[in-house]
Amino acid sequence: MNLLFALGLVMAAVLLQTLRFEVLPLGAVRPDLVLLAVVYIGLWYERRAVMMLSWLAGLLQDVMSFGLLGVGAFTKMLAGLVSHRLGRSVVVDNPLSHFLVAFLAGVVDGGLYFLGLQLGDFGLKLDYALPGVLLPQVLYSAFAAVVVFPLLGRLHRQITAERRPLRARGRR
Amino acid sequence: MPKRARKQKKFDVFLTAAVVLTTVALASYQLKKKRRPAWLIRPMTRGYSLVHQGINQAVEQVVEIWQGYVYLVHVREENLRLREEVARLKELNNRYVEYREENKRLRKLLRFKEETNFSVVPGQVVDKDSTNWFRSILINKGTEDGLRENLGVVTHQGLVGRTVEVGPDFSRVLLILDKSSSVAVLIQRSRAEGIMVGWKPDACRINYLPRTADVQVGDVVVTSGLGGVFPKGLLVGKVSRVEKKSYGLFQYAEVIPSVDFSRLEEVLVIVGYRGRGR
Repeated sequence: MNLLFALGLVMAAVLLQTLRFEVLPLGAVRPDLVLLAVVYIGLWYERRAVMMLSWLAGLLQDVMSFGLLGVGAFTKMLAGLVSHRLGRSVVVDNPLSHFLVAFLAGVVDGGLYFLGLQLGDFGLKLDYALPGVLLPQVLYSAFAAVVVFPLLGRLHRQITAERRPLRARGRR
Repeated sequence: MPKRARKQKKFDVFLTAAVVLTTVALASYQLKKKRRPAWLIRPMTRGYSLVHQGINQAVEQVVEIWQGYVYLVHVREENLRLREEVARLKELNNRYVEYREENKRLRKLLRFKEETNFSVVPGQVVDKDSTNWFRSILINKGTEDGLRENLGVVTHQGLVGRTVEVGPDFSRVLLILDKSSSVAVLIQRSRAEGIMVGWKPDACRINYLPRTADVQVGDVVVTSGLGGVFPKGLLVGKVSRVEKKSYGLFQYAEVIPSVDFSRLEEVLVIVGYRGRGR
């Protein structure tokens, strides 16, 4: 059930991210909902599940985008692993941690994604990518994490009927 | 190290290697073949676009009901005795408002279609790009409708983009706002030619405009027809800023597209010219 929840979360995030009606747009930037799902999974699941689920999330996002296939899968996997690692060393159940972990995972994801895109001919340069996409997206996603994660946590506990705090589960 | 832990570590290494290799293989395939593996893209995109169509319709229904409610709420307050009648009218009005709006959009598209010499295939926008890095949309028409890669996509407002990935019943359209999009354009008034690329989230930029060319804010920009993807004379937008440095061979112009990309619902894909078929 726990794994199904994560799978559902990934599918829903990709679905919402690609809707014709943009979810929570701020100018031309939307929060990266797939990143939020990946960070959430990174915080609450064991490493192997984090790796596979975040890779799958990135791959789905790649398929539904114009970018280079596989790059997003790889960077999302790393973002998931980063948040998993950070989740082990910080108190994960508070808004500041949510913000910081989402921000750092977003920087890893966005930075490496940008570098990966340089392999193809996508015309993306740093002077546009950094202020135009990367920073707004990472900041917006990190702020969104503060609001979304407690809600997700509540939903998660209800669906999986988990009474203990989620972070007490067997993460490695 | 206990045997179990060793085994787990081996599995972890295997898993990491498998994931990395798959990633490299997928990216290499795309870079080498200049296209993405259809066996992976098509079923996934098809599945998602079907769900999206359903969700889009549901959202439209909700918006429609909400709009109808707002529109008629004062009528209901004034006519309590006629509640049943109002409810019926509300339902009719909801439909009417939606039909009227749809009719308006389609009429404009139809007029555009009749006024031009192009053979076009109308399509509906199903979803948008899943990342903030690219500006692309998915439409519900594909090879089954005669579409192929590198076809111009327009609305009655002007140029939208070109098809870059085509499946049986869907196509990905790269918008002119995307950084990797480039369109040969000319300034309608002075006929100065340049190459327009995506620049800002809501604006494009014309490069390679001759330094001596007459370009002014407010000038209309149209496609020049060079390159063969877009027919000549399609409306692109208006010049909003001109940048001329004290050195160099060229000047640059910022263009605000005439198409409102945030409200894109229906598009026309240009598949050929009338009389010449597809």
